[in-house]
Amino acid sequence: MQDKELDDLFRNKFEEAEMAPSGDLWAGIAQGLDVKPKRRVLPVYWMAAAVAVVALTIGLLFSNTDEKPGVPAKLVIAKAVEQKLETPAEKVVVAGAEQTAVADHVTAQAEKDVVVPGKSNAATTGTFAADKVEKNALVAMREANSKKDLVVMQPSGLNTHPENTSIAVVQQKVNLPKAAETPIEEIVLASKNDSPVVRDEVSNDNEEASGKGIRNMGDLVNYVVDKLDKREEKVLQFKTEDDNSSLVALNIGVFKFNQKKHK
Amino acid sequence: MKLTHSHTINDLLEGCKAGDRKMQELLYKQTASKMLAICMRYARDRMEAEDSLQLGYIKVFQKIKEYRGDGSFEGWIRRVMVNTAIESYRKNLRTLNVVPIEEGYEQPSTGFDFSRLAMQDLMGLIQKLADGYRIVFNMYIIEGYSHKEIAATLGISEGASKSQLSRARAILKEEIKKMEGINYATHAG
Repeated sequence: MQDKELDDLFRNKFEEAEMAPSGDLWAGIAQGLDVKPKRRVLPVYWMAAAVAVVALTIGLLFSNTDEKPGVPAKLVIAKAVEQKLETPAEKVVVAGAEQTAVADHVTAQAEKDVVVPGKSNAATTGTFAADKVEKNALVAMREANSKKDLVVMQPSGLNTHPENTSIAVVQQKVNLPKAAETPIEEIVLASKNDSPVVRDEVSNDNEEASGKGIRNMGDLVNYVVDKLDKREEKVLQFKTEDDNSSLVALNIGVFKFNQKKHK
Repeated sequence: MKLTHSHTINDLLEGCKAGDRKMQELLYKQTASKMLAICMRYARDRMEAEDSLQLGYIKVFQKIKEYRGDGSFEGWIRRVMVNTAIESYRKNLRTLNVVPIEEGYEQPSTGFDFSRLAMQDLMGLIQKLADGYRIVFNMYIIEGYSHKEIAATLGISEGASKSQLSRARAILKEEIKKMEGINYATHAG
């Protein structure tokens, strides 16, 4: 028998083939259609993010002495009030937009911190641009897709113990918008190598803050986030001195930015 | 008769887009027998085929808004059904069998009228194939995918796709010859 004969035979017989299905199948289909719409259960982690954001805006509201340029308290309040909590993702975006100014003066530091460790085999190829990365991360946050990514990422972070495994899990599960992919990978590699050091520093900062009470917006955020995010590397974290606070850690999706301390 | 059918399912399209359960059921009733035959080709047995069918229709009704009228409605439903079958194959991570078999040489045509074989007979043969052979045979011969497309969809190399196909063909030819032998024996004289 030739190949063509065989192919034609099967093709002809199967083209318009019909087989009667069992009578009870439709019920299963109808059931499947009824169940599906209920899948949108609001995950707890989004609540956490929302609370952190609210704390942030309140903190900005009441902080008198912060020296952050370009973050008018009124603008923040207006924005916060305007945007009803349709989806938590939007609130995160608001905070993200406002935080640009705050984070700006830290990115310079970040650049220095991450580039310095020569041992890092992150192959950052010298083109590591903290600004670009940070902007990309914010872009990633702004896009609707990020909502999904954050949901995917945070559960894994909160459920597992904050060891190196959490990073591995995050890396597998996240799929960020394409624009942000390359630069963010570089950061992850960098922080992965340094993370043991970073983690200790970060947790120390935390204890410090709570020891001295809540003095400013950063403390407030830290407090709220601390209560909700039990990982070592929290979704975001502030270093706080008496009057001032600055963003030192931001862990959303694949983007992990944690400040190192040089001794 | 066929013409009335396609008219009817197009009429049902709007109702289905609106999520009208009655319309959906009508659409199911009018297309299910064809779709089950498709699912049977991809499945190992009837039970698996019916599971695939249900899942396929759920997808059809969930994604129905995506149908933009390019190509026939029935053709679109078929594609959803085929994609569902392929996806469930991939999810179950069925390994592509690479059991080497003796490649038969091309036999000269014996003049046997293969078209006398019933669809049911061929369905039985195809279900007997190992999963990997079956899915590649289906995708290439019946659905008309290229080896490149099959490779991309299943996550295998083009070469693997080609060898799966040639082995599937070889096995099916052998099996048909057996059936031919049986048929000759009963019809001879």
